[in-house]
Amino acid sequence: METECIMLLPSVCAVLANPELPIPDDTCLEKLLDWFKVMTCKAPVESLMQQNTCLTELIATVIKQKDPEPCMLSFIFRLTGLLAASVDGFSFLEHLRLLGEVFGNRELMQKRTWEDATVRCGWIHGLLNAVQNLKAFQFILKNELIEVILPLQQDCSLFVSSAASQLLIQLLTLPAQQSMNAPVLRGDGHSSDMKDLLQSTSNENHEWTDVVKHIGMHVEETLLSGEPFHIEQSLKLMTLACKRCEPWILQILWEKVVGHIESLLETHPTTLTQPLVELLLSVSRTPIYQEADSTISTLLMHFLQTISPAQAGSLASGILNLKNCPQSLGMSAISVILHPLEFILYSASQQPQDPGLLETRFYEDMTIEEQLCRKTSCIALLGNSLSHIHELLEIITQPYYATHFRPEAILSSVLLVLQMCIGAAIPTTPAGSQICRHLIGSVKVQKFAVDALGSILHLKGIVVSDSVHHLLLEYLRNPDTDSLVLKKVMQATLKYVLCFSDLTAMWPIFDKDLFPVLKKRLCDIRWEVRDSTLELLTHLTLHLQDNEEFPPLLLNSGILQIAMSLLKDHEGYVRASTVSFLGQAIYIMNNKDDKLNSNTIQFTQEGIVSQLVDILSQDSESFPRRAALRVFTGWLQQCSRLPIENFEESLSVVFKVGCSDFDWEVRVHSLELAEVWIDQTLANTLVPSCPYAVTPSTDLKRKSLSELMLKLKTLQIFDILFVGLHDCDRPVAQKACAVLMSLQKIIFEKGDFPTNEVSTNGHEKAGSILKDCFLTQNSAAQTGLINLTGKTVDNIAEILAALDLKTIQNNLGHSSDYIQNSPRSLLQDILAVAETTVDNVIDCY
Amino acid sequence: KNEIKGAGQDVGRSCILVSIGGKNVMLDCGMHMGFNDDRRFPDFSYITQNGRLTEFLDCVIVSHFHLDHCGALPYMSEMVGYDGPIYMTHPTKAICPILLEDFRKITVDKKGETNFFTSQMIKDCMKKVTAVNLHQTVQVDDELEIKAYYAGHVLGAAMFQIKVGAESVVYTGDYNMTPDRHLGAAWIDKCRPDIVISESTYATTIRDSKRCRERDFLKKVHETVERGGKVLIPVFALGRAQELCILLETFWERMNLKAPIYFSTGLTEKANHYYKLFITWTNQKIRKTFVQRNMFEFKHIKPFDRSYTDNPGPMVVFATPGMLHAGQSLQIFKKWAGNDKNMVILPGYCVQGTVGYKILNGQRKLEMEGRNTLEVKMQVEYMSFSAHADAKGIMQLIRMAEPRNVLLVHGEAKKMEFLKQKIEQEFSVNCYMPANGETTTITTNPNIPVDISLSLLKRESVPGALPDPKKPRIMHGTLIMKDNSLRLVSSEQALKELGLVEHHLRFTCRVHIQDPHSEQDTLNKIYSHLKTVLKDSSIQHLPDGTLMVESILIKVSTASEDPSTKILLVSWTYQVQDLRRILLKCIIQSHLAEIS
Repeated sequence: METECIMLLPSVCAVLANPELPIPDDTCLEKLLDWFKVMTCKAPVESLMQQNTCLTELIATVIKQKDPEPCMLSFIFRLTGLLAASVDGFSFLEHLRLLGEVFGNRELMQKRTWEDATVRCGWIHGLLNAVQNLKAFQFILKNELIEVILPLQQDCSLFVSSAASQLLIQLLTLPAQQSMNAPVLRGDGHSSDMKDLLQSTSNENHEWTDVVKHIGMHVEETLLSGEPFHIEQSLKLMTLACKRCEPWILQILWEKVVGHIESLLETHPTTLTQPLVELLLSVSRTPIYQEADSTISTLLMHFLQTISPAQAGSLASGILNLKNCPQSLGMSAISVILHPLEFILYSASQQPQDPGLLETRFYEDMTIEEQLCRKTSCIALLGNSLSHIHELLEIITQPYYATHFRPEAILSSVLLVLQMCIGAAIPTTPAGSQICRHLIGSVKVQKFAVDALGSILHLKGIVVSDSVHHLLLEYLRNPDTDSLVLKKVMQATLKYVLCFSDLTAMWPIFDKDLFPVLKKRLCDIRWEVRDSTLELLTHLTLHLQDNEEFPPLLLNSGILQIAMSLLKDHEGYVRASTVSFLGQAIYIMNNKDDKLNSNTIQFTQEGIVSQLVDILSQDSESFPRRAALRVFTGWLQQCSRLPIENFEESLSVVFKVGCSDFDWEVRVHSLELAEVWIDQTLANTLVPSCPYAVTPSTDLKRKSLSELMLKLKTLQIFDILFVGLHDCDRPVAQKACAVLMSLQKIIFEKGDFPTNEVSTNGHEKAGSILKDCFLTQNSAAQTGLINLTGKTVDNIAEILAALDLKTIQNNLGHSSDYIQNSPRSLLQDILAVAETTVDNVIDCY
Repeated sequence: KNEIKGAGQDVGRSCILVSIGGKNVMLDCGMHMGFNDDRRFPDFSYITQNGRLTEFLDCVIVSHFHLDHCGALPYMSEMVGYDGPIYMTHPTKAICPILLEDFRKITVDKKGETNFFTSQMIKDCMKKVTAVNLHQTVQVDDELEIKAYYAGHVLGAAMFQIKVGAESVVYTGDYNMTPDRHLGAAWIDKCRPDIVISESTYATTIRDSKRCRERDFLKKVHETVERGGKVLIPVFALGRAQELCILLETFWERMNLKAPIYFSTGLTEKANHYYKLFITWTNQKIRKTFVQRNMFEFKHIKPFDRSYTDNPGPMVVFATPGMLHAGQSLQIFKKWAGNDKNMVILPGYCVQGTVGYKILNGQRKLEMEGRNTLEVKMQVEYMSFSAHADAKGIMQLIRMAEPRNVLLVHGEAKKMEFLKQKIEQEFSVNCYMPANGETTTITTNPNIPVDISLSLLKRESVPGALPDPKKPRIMHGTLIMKDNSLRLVSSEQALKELGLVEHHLRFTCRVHIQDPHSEQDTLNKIYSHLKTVLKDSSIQHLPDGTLMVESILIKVSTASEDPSTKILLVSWTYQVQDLRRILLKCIIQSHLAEIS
């Protein structure tokens, strides 16, 4: 602990113990506990308490108070728990008789304060913190605290009941963690020496087994209570036990409750379906579930049959993800997910003998028909089926299932659903017509179906028919398509295009269908649609840039002309996406040997630069400005056809404008651009030294470096780096520091630039030059830059050499948050609150 | 059922789960600014363990753009994976991403966090949002509908009514019942919801008059400027800042002051843009004068450039962020803090650890980066200008909406308790104030509308009598639940519509009577007696020795163990239930009379 903190802690404890003084807000107390937790991990807790007696005094004072503040009492519970987590801490507190007073105080539980959920929550969390050693375990038993914990597991506060469940599980697992003689589970999931344990004369084992039985009985009773909320809490407790308990403990608990679970599966209200699903799936993932033991499989199968098809999706999906899932159960689960889609397929099938999705069906057709013919259940059922397609595809491509299921058939059914949603399907049965009526315009089903389509298109080796792009185009053209559905359709379109290794057949579709509809969508009234379209175009451009056919198609499509107009869109997001798209599109067109658009100046890199500079200097939103800088960086990084020198004039403006932006991310991007420029320029100027050269290589390097320095000075890159180093936003300063450090390395270490010329006096001189530069900043207020004019390259090199960048980097590493989050700051804040006399009303905003 | 995930009895992150008529709606999805770890977002694992929020939730509604109401939205939609509908008003949808972006930048800047939502995620989240208009009924699905009402508080803030069938909930979000300089007062119609979930930030705060606070603010600014000092007002980009700008602009104009007022670069333009775009959401005065002069095009307030910080002479600067925890406001503060002529006015809440929090609580020596100590000599003032309804306003809203129950959130427990009692006394409704994590369940008795077929209505109604709501009558018919509607029709029509065949159900009972005569004599006696008593009914002997009264059959047999005991077997259908009762009464009475 820092000395200053040690000095502050007694005053803080005194403040917290004084009921007359204002209590700091909850976050202070929470953060204080966080700090104590760190402290208890770092040092022996007993000595911590001995050295800081104020801690135990605080606990003793607050616990004796007549009517303590609930939040303070809760804090004391949790603090005591933290301190009691280690054996030495526990013994120390026990010796002071504090533990009994804090956790075993039954009077307190009768008081009104106990009605406050914060207090109960604190009490539980305190015990949870403490129960890390067997002494704490014994303490709970000795004080019969289980009797208090069990009702709290059914508390009306979710936070209390959830914490109580965790505490009970901790009690069930602790002795095993503490290396007691836990029985070993046999391969069949039963404990080999369970009987031994139950008959053991060891006190600890007896007590532990009693706890297990006690908790088991509690779960049993609540499952029988008929109260859905209580049942739900117990199901959650059992689910937690499945995840954390030793198999033999779980076995005892499971045997106690399995009968009640069976009855619940029959009679449960719908609110309990989900907790039951989670419990059954959790128990199926434990060692007590064995393939040979069919009880749990039977339960799973039975539950699949009991719950409504619309609710069965997550259970079916969970079953499919089980290890050692019996194939019959797996087939049933797949059938549950696919049956609604199979029904859809048949409802529009022209020939009833067409192969469907399923060989055997889990439900009666009538059951599914009944559900699909009611609008609410139809949407819920199909939504459920479609949302699980992604997981299902992973399963049915496995060898066993692959022979039974064809992804192409699933694709057909998904396409059919999508057709039904826009009224493009022709149902052949009355049920089909009714389903169509329900689905037309259902955004929910459309979203799930397009996502499913995307997952199918992602499958390797999937055979896609023309109907896919027809449907995608249909959705893209449909004026009623919801904007989010359109976004998903566009993502699916990209996946569809990427399905083809040979795109020859696709180019006419691009030309005649896709580009015309995307052009329309670029003019959509909804910004979301315009933006998604631009995102799709950017992705297409990125993925297809190496195809010779793509750039001319794009150029002739008229899309670029519309995109140019979108640079003035009223929505910032759209302008930013336009910048990204145009940057990429124009780059691929210009980077060909046979420059495509030599006649269309506006679509050349040179042509668009001025527009990008305008955006950078004038756009009111930061996204387009950031995008503009990323375009420049991308061009430089992608080894543009154009020599770097062609950009230099524009870049000097870009650096200047970008670095004086009020958005720090724009400033960081500007520095990144500068970094890339330096790298590229260095790569061009620093030619490898030739062994046969007449001029020595050091001289050559020095000459090249001098040229580089001059360029950096001309482009005012030094200016922005030095200013950036003192930026009020940390990432900017960090970036500037990193770039300057690499420059230092290049110039003074690799480049043999005469660092030794910078003497101690030189350091001082350089420091004062930099200081002068900053002092003149006021006169350069308009530019927002420091003034390096009149300084020679050597002056600048001196400044660079004089900068102690390592120290600066270290300082920057400690963020402002470091100060704010320091324990000292926290302690000072708590003291300050106590001293403040003005009541500042807390009103958030 | 309401489950409070956050901002129950605190002013932290608002997140309430309402289950109504089988639908699950999340109200607000806020974050806690006071934490930097998982605790800042609501814990969605309390809703569902498997992370499939889309399956569980029917929709999410966001009341306004403050981060304690919308800050966790990108986390929920893009990181947890909620893909369902999200609703908010148009201004909220436009302004929300700006604040989220500001917050993201500060988080990334300060902590260098990488496991945080990105700009792309904010954009993708906003694409999932459906913007709604005031008073527009939005059909989320066939059963669930929502409607937005004006809430004041900040631009675009709305209260929402959520309705499923006859059950409804009103969620107020944050609201203000008194108009201010740029926004109007909250309003809702008499929608009589089952419950109003109301914020209670100022549950019992007796706020000094707004005029006084404004006067005090202007006086302090003016005095500082007059003595040549500089005034720093740390604010969040949009919201209360605009209210203060209007206040200062008007004052400067009136007093003809010359000291410059600046606002963080870029934000003035942005704010202007949104206030122009959503002028209909401002108050009446601004709307009316908008044509002649846009109140948000300030004459005296100019964009700030960071080089102005060192300019000599007085000035007033509005700079972001509002808690002095990073960026421009902190940088200016560092420069001006050492001069006792200067002043900083904090107009809102600051979380622990921030410089704002420290100076508000009187700390005057602050440790800054690099362990330098900054001595604060400038004056520090706190003036709350946040627009929440006070106790009077909350009562006024309850009076407006006439709910059957009230639930208070977003306030301090002690203050809420006082208001709770007041509400229960004045309105005779139940008032709840659950803590975070608690669930409140309210039983509703919804009126379920049922259509009745005209033929049945005609058949069942008394000719000539008009229906009287005070004298309800029982109608007999068959209730058909089909295609989400309920209809009462005659049983014949029900059979026809459903394609069912009628089954007749007969009830039987045995009546023991003492009669030593033969079975035939007993039957004859009953026949004669009934003929005299039930004159209007058709009574006849059937060939099989049975007596038939209308459709009721009576058969007599002798008890095997006692020949003087006769057993009457009576069989009837439910339609003649009343006749059967009368008939049996007659038989028993006549028999008793004879015996006596």
